Amino acid sequence: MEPNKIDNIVKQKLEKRSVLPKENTWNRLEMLLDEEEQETKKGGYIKYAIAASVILFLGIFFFMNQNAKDEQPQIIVDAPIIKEDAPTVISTSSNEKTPKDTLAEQEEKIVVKPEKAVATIRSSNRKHVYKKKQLLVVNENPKGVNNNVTGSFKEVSIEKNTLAVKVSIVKNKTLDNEVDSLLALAENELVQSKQIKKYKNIDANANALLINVEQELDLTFKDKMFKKLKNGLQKTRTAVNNRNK
Amino acid sequence: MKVIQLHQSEKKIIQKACAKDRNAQRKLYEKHAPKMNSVCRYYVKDIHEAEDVMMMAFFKAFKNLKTYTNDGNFEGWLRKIMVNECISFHRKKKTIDIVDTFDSAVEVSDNTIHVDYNVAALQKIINQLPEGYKMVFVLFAVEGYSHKEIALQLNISVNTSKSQLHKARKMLQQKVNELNSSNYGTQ
Repeated sequence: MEPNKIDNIVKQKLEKRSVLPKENTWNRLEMLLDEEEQETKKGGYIKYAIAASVILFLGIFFFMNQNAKDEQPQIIVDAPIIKEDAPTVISTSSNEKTPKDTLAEQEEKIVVKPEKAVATIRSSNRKHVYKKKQLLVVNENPKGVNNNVTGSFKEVSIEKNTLAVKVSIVKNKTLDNEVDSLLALAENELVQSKQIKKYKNIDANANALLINVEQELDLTFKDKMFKKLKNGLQKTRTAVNNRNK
Repeated sequence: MKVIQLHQSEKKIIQKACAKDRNAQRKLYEKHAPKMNSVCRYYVKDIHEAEDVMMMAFFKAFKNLKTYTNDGNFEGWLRKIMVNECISFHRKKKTIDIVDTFDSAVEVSDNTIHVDYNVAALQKIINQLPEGYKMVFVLFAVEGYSHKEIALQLNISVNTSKSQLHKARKMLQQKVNELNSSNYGTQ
C-alpha cells in the first residue's frame, strides 16, 4: 500500500517535533536506576551465598563419603579380629605392654604381694608357734636355742608390723587402682560389644572387601564418579523393573 | 568525518552506560529524551502520563542496554522500546477499543487535504481520534509499521488494522476540513 498524502504530512510535521521533558524526570529515573542496582547487588550476593553454600555442602558431602569409604574397609576387616580378640583382651594385657596394661600388671603384682606376705607371715607364725610348742614341750633344751627362738620371735613380730603397715598402704593404693582398672576394663568391654553389635548385622566377605577397597584406591576420581553413576543407574533400573513387575 | 566521530563517541557513551556509568546514561537521556517524549506524545494524550511512559521506557532501555548490538541505530532501538511501552500503557489502562469491522467502500481522497497547521494543532487533531484509530494510524503513518506488524502488536487481525487506518484517515480528514472551514488553522 502506497503511503497516503495525509500520512506523509503528519509524519513530517511530527518527526520535526521535540518535547522537552520536565527537569525532575531524570532525577526520578536516576532513583529508579539506583533502586534497581541495589536490588541486583542484593540478588547477586544472595546468588553467591547460595552458590558458596551449595559448594560447601557438596564438599562436606564428598569429604564425608570419602571418609566413610576409608573407614568402612578398616572396620569390616577388623571386625573378625575383634571377635577373635574379644576374649583374649584380658589375657593379652600381660603380653602387650601398653601404659594401661603395665598399670594393670603393677596392680596385679601389688595385689599379689600382700597375699604372699600374709601367707608367709601366717606360715612363719605357724612354724614359730609349732616351734614354741616344741620348745615348751622340750623345756630342758640349751638356752642358746631358746635365745635364738626368742630372737626369731622378735624378728617375726617386727616383720609382722612392717608388713601390716605395708599391706595397709598397698591396700589403699590397690583399692583406687583396682577401681580404675575395673572401670577401664568395663569401658573396653562396652566399646567392643558396641562395635560387635554394630557390625554383627553386616554379612561381608573380608577378602572380597579388601580386594574391592584396593581396586577403589587405584581408581582415579573420574573413574570413581563414573562407577558411582553406573551403580546409581543400575539401581534405578532394577527399582523400575521391580516396580513394573 | 564528524559524523563518524559522533557515531563513535555515542558508541563509547553506550558502552559506558552499559557498564552502569550514571553520567553516560544521563548523556544518552539528555540527547534522546526530547525526541522520545515527542514519540510518547503521539500515543498518550496526557503530557504527564506521556512523560511517565517515556521515563519507564528509558529505565527499561538502560536495564537491557546489553541486548543492544551496536550494528543498528540506537535511536531506532530506543524508539521501538518507547512504542512498546506506550502500547503496554494502553493495554494496562484498557483504553484501546478496536471494533473489528472493515468497510472497503470507505476510501479517503487526499486531493482536498491541506494540512498547514503547526504541530500543536495537528497533535490536538490526532488526540481527538479514538485510541484504536490513533494507534493504528500513528504506527502505520509515522512509525512505518506494516499491517501485519500492527496486527501482531495490538493483537488484532490484519483486516481490522486496515479498517482502523481507513477510519482514522477519514476522521482526520473530516477534522482538518472542519478546521479549514472555520479558518482555525494558523501558520
